[in-house]
Amino acid sequence: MKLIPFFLFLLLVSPAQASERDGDCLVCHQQSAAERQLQTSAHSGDLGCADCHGSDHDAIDRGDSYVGVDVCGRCHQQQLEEHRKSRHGMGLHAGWGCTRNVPGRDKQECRFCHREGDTQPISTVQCARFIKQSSEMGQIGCNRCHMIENSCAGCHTNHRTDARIVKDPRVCAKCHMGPDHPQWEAWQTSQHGTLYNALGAPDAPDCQLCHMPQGSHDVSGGLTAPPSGKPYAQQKATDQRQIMLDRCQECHVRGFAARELQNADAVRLQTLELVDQARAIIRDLDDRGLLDPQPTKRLEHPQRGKELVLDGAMLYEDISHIESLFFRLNKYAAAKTFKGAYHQNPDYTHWYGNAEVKLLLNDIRGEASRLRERGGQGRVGVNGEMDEKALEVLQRRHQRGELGDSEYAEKKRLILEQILQ
Amino acid sequence: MIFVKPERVFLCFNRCMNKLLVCLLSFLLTGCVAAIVPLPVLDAERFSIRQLLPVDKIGLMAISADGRMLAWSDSDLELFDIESSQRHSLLNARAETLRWSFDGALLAATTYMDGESHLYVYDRSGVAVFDTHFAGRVGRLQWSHTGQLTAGVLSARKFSFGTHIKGQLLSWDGRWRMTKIPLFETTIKPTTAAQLADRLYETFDFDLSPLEDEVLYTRLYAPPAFAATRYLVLHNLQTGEEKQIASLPMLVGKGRLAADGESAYVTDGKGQITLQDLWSTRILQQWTGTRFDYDPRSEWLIADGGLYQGQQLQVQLPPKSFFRLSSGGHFLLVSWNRQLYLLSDYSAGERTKIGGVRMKKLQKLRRLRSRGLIEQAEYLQARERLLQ
Repeated sequence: MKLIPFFLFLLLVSPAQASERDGDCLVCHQQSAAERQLQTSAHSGDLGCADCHGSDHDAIDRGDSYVGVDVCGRCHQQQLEEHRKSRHGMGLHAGWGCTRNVPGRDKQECRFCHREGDTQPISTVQCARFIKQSSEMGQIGCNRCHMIENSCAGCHTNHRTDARIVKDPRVCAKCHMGPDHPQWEAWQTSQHGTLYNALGAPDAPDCQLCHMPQGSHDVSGGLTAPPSGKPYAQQKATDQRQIMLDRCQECHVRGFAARELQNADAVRLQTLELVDQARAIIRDLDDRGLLDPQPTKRLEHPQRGKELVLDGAMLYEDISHIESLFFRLNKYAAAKTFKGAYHQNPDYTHWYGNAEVKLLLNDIRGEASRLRERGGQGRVGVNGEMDEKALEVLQRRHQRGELGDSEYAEKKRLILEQILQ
Repeated sequence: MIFVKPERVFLCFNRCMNKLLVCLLSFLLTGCVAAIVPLPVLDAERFSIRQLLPVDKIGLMAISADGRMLAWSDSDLELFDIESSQRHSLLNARAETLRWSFDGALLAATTYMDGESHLYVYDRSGVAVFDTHFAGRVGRLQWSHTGQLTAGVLSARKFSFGTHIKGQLLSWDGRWRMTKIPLFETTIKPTTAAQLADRLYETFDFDLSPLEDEVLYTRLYAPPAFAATRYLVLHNLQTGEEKQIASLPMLVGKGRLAADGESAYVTDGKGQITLQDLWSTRILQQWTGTRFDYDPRSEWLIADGGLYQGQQLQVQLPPKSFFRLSSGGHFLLVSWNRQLYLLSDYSAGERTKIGGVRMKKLQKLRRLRSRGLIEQAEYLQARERLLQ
């Protein structure tokens, strides 16, 4: 007797029932592409429209019944877990900023950062570049990629379940291309890409083979650094490297693969050192009030106000010329250098990457020299200055950890000495 | 430590009794007591005590640096030349503040009516050399050693949600230019404003540093949902940087910068006056009293009628006497028993002047310290070398 409710439940959720319930939807959606795609997918017969979209048509019309990862995760739990622990699982965290104060924003955007009824964001990481865009630009230029956190359809498409779509490396290219992270271009024109173009999968390596082996949804497995390029903590980096080497070993001798990746690590660190040099030059100019315009005299950064921002939240608008050069160096050229190196692409590593980094660093030095000259500080180093500005510069450098305590005290002492003379 | 020998007390008692006898005889003969009642202080022969004139009641008073010109205001403002006994009526209105310049050449006074203050500057002959008016009420006037006059002005505007107050300094350069230096703006809750009522302006007090680069002032802080507090704040005029020194009661308590500009006399209005280091908050000296005044060298301090040299009590004025030091600190004006006295010759020296270049360097060091660009220890080391 106790099993009767259970059997009744099975009857309720049976495919036949689902199809019957779809009858209401099909009155209007019979000829829709969505319906045709669903009928030819693996979900055909198992799921009806309402199983994913719900049955509140008004809510669907308002866009309130978005089919996010939680909906797919009801059945595909393992994939959801892998997705969430990977970088794809924090796509929105990395790409979105709180938009409540930004005029013209769609209220529906809130759900990407906030769980329903919760005022606290899922993550506090915000993207100033997103906030600066128009709503339309944000939708197309930002959300189409960064919505990956809450969207299986971003790769799988909406109603099809054909594995050929997601096994094609071009599915990754939609986002992983362009001047800021040309993984697609670097891979396609590398030896790996050449082989793939000639032989196709599974005889040649594609994105999925190295980054999503055996259909894993953890796309970050085997990576030793976040997108900024700054290395992970030693233990985490070592563990991840072993995971990647296991994958390389399917085709290569482990030692060879390890050496190649170590070379790429070295290139990445050398490149970051050049980025730091460029950043230090601009900070120094800011300390001396020589940027044109200074952060205090231009539109405020949406998150950090009048502060000079040269990190991941850096804007490419409302900044000085020298900062534009730095943006290109850091965001484009440096990224090309190490993405090229890890994807074994010589031209991306050298000419699109390394050469551009160094040329832009030259430009930054030249522009800095011009700005210093214009500000009357062309030939005066910090040690030679005996004014307040020099002490201010020293203090900022000390606060940033560029000067040790004793060095800072000694430099201050020299300046005070000159004031007293 | 104050130590008075018993035989000195006895001697003084004898002397006072003799004088009272003379006074009684004088009263019997002339019917006038005021002309001869001496100021009963110990060791009177050590100082010069001059009896000036009888006064009906205590009003606002100020004595010039040379001890010759006396200005006072009760219902109107008057100037009295002590040597020639000439009297000039300056203004037919009650002055709220009075202050002689350090050289004794100019007298500044302010009046207040209907939300507006009027500032007048007179020369020694009673001729007005400058006058202006502005919104707000003046709580204090101060002359600098270089002849600049500064007024601390508090203006208030009442709203349904509170009273918006603005504290600022108005400086007159000695010729024609007035400069405004805003110090703070805040909205205080209606209950606090109602409690203070007409005495609201008394919450703002200031003192300009002898180096003229810093100001010690009091600011009221009473936004809704917060307990009303009055802070004593050190403000660097060149950088705008501020340092909170102490919390004071609403209407009593003040801070005055000592001659070195590094320490301040602070009274909380509860019977303690302390000289404290502004940067280490160390108490350097301590006296008992609520009202005080001191000379520009910070050598003499008068607290509730006790004239101290350092911490040594030198003169104790009789109870209920009103006192005021002249701007240079060489004369002490005392009002007691409806008589005015002028006490002098207590060896108040001249203040140490710092030359132009050294003064500029010292101000620069203080500016660097205010911005946190150098530490206090570095500042003190550099200052010591500079003043050697």
